[in-house]
Amino acid sequence: MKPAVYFMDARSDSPDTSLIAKMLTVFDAARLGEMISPGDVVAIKVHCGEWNSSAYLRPVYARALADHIKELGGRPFVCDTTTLTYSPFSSRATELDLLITAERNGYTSATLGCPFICADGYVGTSDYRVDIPEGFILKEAYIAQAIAAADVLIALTHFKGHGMGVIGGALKNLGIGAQSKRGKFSVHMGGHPKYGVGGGVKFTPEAFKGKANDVNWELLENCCPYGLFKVTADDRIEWDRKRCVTCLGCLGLMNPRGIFEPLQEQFDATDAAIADAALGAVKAVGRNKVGFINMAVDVSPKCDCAGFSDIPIVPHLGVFASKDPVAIDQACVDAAMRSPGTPGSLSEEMGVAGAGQRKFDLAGAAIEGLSEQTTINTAVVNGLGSRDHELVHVAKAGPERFRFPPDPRPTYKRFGKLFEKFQPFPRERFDGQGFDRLPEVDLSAVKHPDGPKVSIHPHAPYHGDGTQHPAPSNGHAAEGHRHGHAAHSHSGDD
Amino acid sequence: MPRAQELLDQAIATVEAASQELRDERLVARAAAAVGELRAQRDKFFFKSLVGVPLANKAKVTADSLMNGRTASNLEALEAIVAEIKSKADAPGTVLT
Repeated sequence: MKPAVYFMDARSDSPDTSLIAKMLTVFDAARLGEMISPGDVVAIKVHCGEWNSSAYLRPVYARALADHIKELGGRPFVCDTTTLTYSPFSSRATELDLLITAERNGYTSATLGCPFICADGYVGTSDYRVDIPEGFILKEAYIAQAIAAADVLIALTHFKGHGMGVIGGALKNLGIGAQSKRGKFSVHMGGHPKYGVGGGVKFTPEAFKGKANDVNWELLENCCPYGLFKVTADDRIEWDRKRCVTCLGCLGLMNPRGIFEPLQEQFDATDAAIADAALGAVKAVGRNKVGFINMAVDVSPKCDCAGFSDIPIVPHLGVFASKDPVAIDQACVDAAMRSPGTPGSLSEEMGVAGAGQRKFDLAGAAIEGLSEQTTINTAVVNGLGSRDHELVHVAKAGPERFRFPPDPRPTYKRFGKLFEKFQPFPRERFDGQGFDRLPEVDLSAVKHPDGPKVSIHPHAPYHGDGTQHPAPSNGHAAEGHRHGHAAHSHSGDD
Repeated sequence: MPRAQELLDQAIATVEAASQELRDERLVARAAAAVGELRAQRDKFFFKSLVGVPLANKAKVTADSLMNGRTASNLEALEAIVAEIKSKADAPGTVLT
């Protein structure tokens, strides 16, 4: 039997078709709530976004989901994990940095209505080891402790592209996002003799131009957390590659200089390993205790772990939920392929904007030759899930469910008595009209696409041409613009 | 060959062909300088990765414009792309971008 992927499109014209409502609707349709027993601790795994990223999921999605989990009797918390350093200037590589970045991006206990925590501890060594003999390349995984300790895990994923993973979906949210820092080193092939950066990359030290010709040469020494690069007094760069852990801190500096040749196999191996590590996360929590929601909105070409967010490569695709992480990612990839690309986006610049074209191989990946299917296919091989799936279109749940929960009463019951006591409308003024306004104006004069068809008010303080009119010394001059209409204003109203 | 390099090679060839039709020696010199700059950038990682594709494509488009209209303004557009390439090709980034 094919796994079901529950889907609602991204159009919205009513409260029950808002993306927030749709997220809860597909959650229920996929029966993810049935995994939660009263008192269960429920981890909601999100990507809280790197510093200056802006396409990550708005915190309101996690808030609404946490509220719903509380209604079901669960004890939710929202979490992310520390990253590899992966650049000289990363913003989530320790718990301290992660929490600061998350707070700036809107993820706090206050906004979420439940704790926001770093799931793998201060440095990223708080984890739980899982054997994965079924793994295609990995045979063990290190799952962030707070996630492994949870009774239920909901992967609330922003579906988008990724320079290394090609796609950033449910599998990557667990295969990278639910791994501790230790686990991430393994997934990225740290220490691997063939696929690791230290083991496999082509090192060309003669490409270093010397201190005098490289104003950022000190960064070359400072990009590695283990200090494995040295620039010598005679202007040579040395690298202790045997100790390299593939933290990726150096590639963004070494590749542009030609000191490293990009190692495509490292990217491919990592993409495969993501699927194995995701399997480890599922095994750590329990196969029937993990649910997946993919929000395929703001589908930026690069991940939320980049410090920027480009124009989405396709329009919003919709909201998906499933118990199968492979099926849900495949459904999103299929939807992106069916969709036309966004004009002016990277999908157009890469020549893959046509409906029916694969989008992420070129518009997501950092180097050519990677595949948006590698992680998905590997997750089929290791038994995590199925590419084949049934896409179930879910009907909206009706507006009643999504009314403002603190006070769902209709207007008169909410405001009638309140407005008797605190009258916001000054009905006693201007013969019951309440405010000082002209009885009639030519509204068509300000609707023209080329600009207004009436002259600028003679006492407007700022003119459209950038000049500034001296402010009137009193209110009388402005009253003259009323073309003879009676001015009921009191002093200073103009 | 990486597609960014391929696009850049097409741009370089087009600018060279266009410059043979230029009558103003100053424009010829500027076009030659632009070609020299593009050649100097071509083997960098920026153009071996996919990151360089958009700018390589822009270089090709502006080169095509120069071929179709051998004017100083079209050459200026090409020079602007060359300047943008020079500013970005060596910029540090993450491996993910």
